[in-house]
Amino acid sequence: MAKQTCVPESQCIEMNNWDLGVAIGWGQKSNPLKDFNDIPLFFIPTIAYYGNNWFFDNGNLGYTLAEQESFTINLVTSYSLDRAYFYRWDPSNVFLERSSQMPTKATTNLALTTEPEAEFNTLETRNFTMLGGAEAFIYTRLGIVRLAYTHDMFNVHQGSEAQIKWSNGWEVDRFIFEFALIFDWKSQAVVDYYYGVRPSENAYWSEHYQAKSGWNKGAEITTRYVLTDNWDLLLAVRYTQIADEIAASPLLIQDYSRTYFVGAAYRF
Amino acid sequence: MTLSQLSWLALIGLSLSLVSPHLAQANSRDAALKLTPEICITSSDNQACDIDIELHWTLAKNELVCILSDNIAYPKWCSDSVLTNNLQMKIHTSTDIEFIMVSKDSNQTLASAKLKITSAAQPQVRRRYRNPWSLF
Repeated sequence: MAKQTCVPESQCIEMNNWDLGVAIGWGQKSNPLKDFNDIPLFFIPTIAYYGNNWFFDNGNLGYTLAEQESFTINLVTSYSLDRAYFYRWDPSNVFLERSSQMPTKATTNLALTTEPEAEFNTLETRNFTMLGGAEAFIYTRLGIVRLAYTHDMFNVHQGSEAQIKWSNGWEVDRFIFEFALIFDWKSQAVVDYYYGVRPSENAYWSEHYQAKSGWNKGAEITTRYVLTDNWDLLLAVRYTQIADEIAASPLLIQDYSRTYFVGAAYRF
Repeated sequence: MTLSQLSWLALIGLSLSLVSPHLAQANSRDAALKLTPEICITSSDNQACDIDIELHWTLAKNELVCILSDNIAYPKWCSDSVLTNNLQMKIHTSTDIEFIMVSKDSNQTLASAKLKITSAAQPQVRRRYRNPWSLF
């Protein structure tokens, strides 16, 4: 298992060795939360270790149950990306500048303009949790399909997430391109925990916004230009269209999130 | 036999014991066995090596020789002409093989050569499941 030839080289990792890297540059992740700042990006770290079956990859722990030429099945952990909009020290924001809640100011709610102004007291805590579940990769000539289903492991929101992702990569001379389409499903419990309104935050909206499950849809392009064995130039762009069910939350002022980063990446 | 005579005999015996191996080696030093190629590189540790090799020898005197190996798949071979000075073989092995050339008449070892099998020793790799520079 896992000792067959791996191609292309850019999607392979040397076993039993730490893979460490950092990208330094400039970028920004827009924050769809009302009264929260966008998140500047200065660093993107990468930390990975792959053994025979176990692997750790940027905060995700996994165990490979089956590895074949045409598919892979893993048990995996992951963490929700939604909390990153609220907290600086969420794993998704490691090395990123603080995502801070600004003083409340009058802002039009795009979702429901006839409703009362969405103004909130200090938001209650949205706790961190890990999700655990399974993922499958299907390798085809037209790209890689990832199917994943994970569930809250620590009873924080008792919700589930699922993902359908298609990605494909190309190598042209020194350029390495990867394009991905991502569909993320979040259960009603997840949506309610992060985007629902507590009574202490706003009594009116805690009753009038009813969270429902929904699908976020996204696209991502990562472009690398290989300078040397260690240095790459990096350009990454991601756009996420937030599910209508989530965008309807009065906590949100935008129904999308845009991220871009341009810089240089170094692999140790 | 006097003590003096015993001393001389001992000295002569010691001298002969020291000199005789050098005489034997001098004989084998004049013989050479060259193996081409000497190394077979495989792409993985467990892969066998399939290779055509040639043994070529030179001798101090014209004599018939035999080639032996430490691999039972390649039994003893002997020349039937003093003009023969090479042997070509197809080898299939996953371990080193040592070839020894001996005199057909005296069975004295004349020279040896070793075929080494090594793997390319590529680091083991596997698929990485995450894009290291994904924007989450």
